[in-house]
Amino acid sequence: MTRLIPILTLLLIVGMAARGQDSRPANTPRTTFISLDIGRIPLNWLFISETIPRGSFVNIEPGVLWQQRSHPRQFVQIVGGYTTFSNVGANANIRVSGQGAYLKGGIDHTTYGYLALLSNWQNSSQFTLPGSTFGPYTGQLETTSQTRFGLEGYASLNTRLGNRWRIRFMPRLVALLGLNTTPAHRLSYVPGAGLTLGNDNSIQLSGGLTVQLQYRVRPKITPSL
Amino acid sequence: MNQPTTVMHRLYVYRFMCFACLATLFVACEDCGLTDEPELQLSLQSTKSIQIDTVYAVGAVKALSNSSVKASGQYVSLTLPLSLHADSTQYKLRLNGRTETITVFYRRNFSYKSKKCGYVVNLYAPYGKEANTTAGKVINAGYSQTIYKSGFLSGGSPTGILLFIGL
Repeated sequence: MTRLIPILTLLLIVGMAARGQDSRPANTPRTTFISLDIGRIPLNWLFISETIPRGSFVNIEPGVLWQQRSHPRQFVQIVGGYTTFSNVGANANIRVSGQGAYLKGGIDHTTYGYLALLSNWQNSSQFTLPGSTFGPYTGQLETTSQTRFGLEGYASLNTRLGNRWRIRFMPRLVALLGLNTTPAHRLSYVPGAGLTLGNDNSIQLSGGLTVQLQYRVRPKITPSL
Repeated sequence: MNQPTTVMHRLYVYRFMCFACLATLFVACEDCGLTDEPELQLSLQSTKSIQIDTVYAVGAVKALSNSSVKASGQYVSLTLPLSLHADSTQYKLRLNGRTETITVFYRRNFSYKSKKCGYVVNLYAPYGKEANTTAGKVINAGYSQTIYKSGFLSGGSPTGILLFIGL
């Protein structure tokens, strides 16, 4: 986790720097949204050959979107998240439990957007081999700490729910690059990205449909000097 | 004039379809090896007739099936499951009216194969004694590792042990 801190700080700085590139007058009201993911349908549902890993997930992903003064339909967004998961099927016979945190930063263009993702988590895995006479054998694998860097792109269909609320339906695709990991420990669930499509390559794909709820914070008018 | 051309076109289409089907079969199926416990092929040989009434695997949670238990003749071959919970499996046999014990030793190697298969197991010869028996003498013990099917036509074989005992 310690090696993650500089990278997370860098992401934050990049996000803040992008936010600071506004050229609109300082007194122009700027919209700020607070977002929260309320539902996800993984990409795996679309692929018949993919098994849908079962398990329990708890995922909290709040985010903030700041409107850019120069581009009213453009927002700088920063999203943080925490995930805990247990007994998730990673392969045919491997199940994984663990917890992790992630940070996303990027630009939202109202109808589409892109984000950089950095995810770090710890997981303990076990595999089970069938045994009809002696009973199934369960072997423990070492607990590992893992990091993934990802790039996410999405489209967004926005529906207003009154003055302050809006709901977004976002088809999304994430490309994940594994860092210092072996195939055995490649999880089919990456915090922040979701369930991954199965292959043993170093680049994994994830995505699906995300339903996001957003709350518009009342614009704050900055007095002109 | 056009008929032969049409027939040729159809032939090409059929050939292409056959090729596509075969290619799909080759690509789609990844062999993961064992779907249950590995097996011991136990061969007993004697100059007299061998009569086996019961076979009991120590530590088993389920009785062995009748087809793998009852046997008779001068040469008897049994297929028995091997435990993955330890590096040895012990069997007790009711053989010619006496209770005999056969213990097989091996080395389990668990390794990651692929995302689809996950972890797989292979059995290797142990460092030391391979098997012992209270009945007769161990003639030979052989250990084989899984050979995975690489295509539709190539056959595979699961990991297991061959044990020959002379009574």
